[in-house]
Amino acid sequence: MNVRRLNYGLCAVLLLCAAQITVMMLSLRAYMAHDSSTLWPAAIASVVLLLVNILLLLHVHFHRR
Amino acid sequence: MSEVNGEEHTQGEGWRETFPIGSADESVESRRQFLKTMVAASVVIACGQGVLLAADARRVSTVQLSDKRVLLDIQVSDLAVGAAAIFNYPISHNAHEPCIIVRLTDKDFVAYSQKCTHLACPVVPDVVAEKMICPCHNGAFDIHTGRALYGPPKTALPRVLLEISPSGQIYALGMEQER
Repeated sequence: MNVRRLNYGLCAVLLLCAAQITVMMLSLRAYMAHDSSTLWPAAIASVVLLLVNILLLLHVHFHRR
Repeated sequence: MSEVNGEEHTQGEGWRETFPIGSADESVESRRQFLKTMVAASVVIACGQGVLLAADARRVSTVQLSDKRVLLDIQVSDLAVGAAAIFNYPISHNAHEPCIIVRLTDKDFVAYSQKCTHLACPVVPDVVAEKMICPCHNGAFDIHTGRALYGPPKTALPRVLLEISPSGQIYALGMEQER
């Protein structure tokens, strides 16, 4: 794997983590406002983002050099 | 002479076999390490989301206290907007709960148990501030949901479910409380 592709992966992971933090903040706000309707979709979105992150990590490891 | 990662080294340099990453690959390795750290952070965030879900599931559970349908002796025409009236709602065959009905707008009515969930002082509505106030210990509940806002009470006021008939009669359908 060349450095450029690794950098792209790194940017993607950073963006995914930022999205996950945003989702977390939104669901925290919903929790404080007693709004349960958004908590499940937010949790599913967070898990999907985590899975994509893990897939990226595995991709980097399986294509190690 | 042997070659690791495109760099030549002699047999005497055993440390190179223990640490086979050449200087050209150092930045790549730190990127990989950073990737792992970010994924670990991602796992932590997802776990936090799970904790929020669990906390919410424990918090928002509505308990049905009664499901008796009774016709109140108060009619829609008896209550002006912002006015309130007291009635008794049967919670068992020989026990009644003192309750208060409040007209918020032309069509919106809410009714709650009048006993504060702290020490059972009677609560009074403040329609302008959108609160049910407990004057004994300065507690307050949201007038729309019955949830505790501040002061000593921690649990919501039991809410009476209402049905308004087209002829202006008011029925109490049941009583429930968020725990």
